[in-house]
Amino acid sequence: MALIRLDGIVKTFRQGELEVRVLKDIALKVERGEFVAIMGSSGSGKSTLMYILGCLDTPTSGTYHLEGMDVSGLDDDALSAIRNSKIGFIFQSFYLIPYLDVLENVLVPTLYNPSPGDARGRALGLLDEVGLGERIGFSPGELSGGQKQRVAIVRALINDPDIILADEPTGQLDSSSSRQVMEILERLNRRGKTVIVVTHDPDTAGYARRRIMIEDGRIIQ
Amino acid sequence: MAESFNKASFFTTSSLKALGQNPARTLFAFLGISLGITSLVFIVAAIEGSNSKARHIIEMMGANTIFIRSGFGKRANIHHLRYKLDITDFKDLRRIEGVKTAAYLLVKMERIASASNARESMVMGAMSTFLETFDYRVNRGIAFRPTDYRSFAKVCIIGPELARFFFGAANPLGKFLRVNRTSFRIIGIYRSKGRLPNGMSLDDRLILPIETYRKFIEPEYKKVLGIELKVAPGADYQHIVEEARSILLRRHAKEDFVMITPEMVRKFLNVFNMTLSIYLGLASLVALFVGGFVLSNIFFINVKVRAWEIGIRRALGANRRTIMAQFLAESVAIALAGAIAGTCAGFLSIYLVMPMLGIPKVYPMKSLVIALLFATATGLVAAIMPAKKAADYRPVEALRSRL
Ligand SMILES: Nc1ncnc2c1ncn2[C@@H]1O[C@H](COP(=O)(O)OP(=O)(O)OP(=O)(O)O)[C@@H](O)[C@H]1O
Ligand SMILES: [Mg+2]
Repeated sequence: MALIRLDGIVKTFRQGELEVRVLKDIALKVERGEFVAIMGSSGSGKSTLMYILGCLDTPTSGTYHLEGMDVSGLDDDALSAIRNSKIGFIFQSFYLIPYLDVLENVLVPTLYNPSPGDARGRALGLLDEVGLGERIGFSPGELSGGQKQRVAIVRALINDPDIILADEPTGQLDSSSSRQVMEILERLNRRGKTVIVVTHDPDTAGYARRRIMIEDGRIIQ
Repeated sequence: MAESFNKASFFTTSSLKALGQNPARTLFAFLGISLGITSLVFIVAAIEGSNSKARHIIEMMGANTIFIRSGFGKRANIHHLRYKLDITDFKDLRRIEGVKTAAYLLVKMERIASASNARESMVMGAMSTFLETFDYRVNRGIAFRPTDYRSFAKVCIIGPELARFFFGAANPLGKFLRVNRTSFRIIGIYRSKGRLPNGMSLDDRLILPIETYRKFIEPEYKKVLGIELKVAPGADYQHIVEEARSILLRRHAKEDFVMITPEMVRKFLNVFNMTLSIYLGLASLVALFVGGFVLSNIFFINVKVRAWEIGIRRALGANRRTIMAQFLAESVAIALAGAIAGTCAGFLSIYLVMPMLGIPKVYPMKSLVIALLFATATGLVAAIMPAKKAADYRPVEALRSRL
């Protein structure tokens, strides 16, 4: 059974009178433990697809099976719980909460986790692992881009999800920080996490073991 | 258990940190609520204070008491009061069925002197029932004996303040005080009665047997300042009040007396209370409303500015309820801080303003509870719409709102 299976996924946005069809009949299977890059030009629908994969948005039509369960019809509470426990998001612009320090930012997902366990212990271990063990009391404003993204990665991992979804994770980073970030993702993948990276940077996509091209709302390869 | 506690404390600190993010906005909302709570606390104390004043007055009168105070006539003067009630009135009233005891009262400001000292003080003429009905309890020496009344004995009972003034620590019993040219021997000192709510001392009086008073202080006088009736247990109080009034009206051309009953005191103070509550209640509601309005608007701005934060929290697994809870908690945190500050400011205003209103100062702890309740309610009501708006954001659009 595939970890992720999309069938006939369509996403349309209504803009006034106009209906914009952003995703057109997407079919996709991702197996557990894969490292996939989704590539395509700007506006092709990569982020939109990733939001649907992350249960952050629902398709207009089509079905989405996650671990064999049809999630296309679930309500907000159920989708929120799935995001919290099964999915870790990483974004281009980090989205660290400015008034919380590094450790607190990392712990935010545990607020929404009904059984967070020893979240603090896990957070400290993970921060150590990405080289931020000395920075737990820093505020996001005091960190470099690469450090911010590593904090975001730890935040994505704190509830031990199966799937890591990263939307242009290196989009705002220089090449050495990008390398660091991608090496962490590669390591996570080796440990069994399923990683899906949206990018139009070939170097970033190079870390993936499968590349998917999307153009004008369709997967072309 | 420990886990969920950690989560709660993290939830709380992160709410407080969020508020610290924009101190000016937070301060505005805080001040609005504080102001409302200040006036609320003030009202609670005003009501409590005037209630305790009423209780105090009624306690002093006794619940079964009817007091009739004489009018003074037009050109009243503290030294020559033209009382309208007289001894005949008293004798008529005493005969009403159901009246247990009756007493009348004569008072006059006089110069009281010892061998070495002198002061103006109130001299009262007391009937034998007087000490009981007015609750003057002699705790040093003795009360008047029946023979003291019949024999115009030149004896007196004085208040503890007067005793201290003339004799300091020495024993005043058996010593003499002079009023006009007559010396009176001190046979008793009554237990301290404290002060009236208006600050007037009840402990500086010199009491004489009524016959002695009429002979030596006001020989020609047939008039009395006041008549006090005590209603027997089980008698119809209201009926006796009516009867007393009609007896007096039969002898007096007009109502030149005032009947005072505990019920009337209560009613008067209730009206006073109600007026106060309405004005201040309105003021504090307006203040709370304005505070709530400010709070609400600040949270609308807050939610809008922090849309992307809502987006990322949703991505990290927050559902609609937890987003609402977050903003409600932030609002309630401001409101609770406002409640505590407002309660302090309210207590300060009680301290400063109550004396001007003649209301005893009270600092009821229940006003803190009321303040916390009202503030919480205001905080919740003010933030409910913004919080709902936050919860209604579509996560993806909220995320995209950051450029
Ligand atoms: N809420 C929306 N309403 C209307 N149109 C939208 C909305 N969200 C996305 N779109 C449109 O859908 C198309 C695809 O957007 P998407 O963000 O998925 O592209 P992308 O491939 O991620 O592009 P980029 O590489 O620039 O991030 C774009 O044309 C965009 O304008
Ligand atoms: Mg995109």
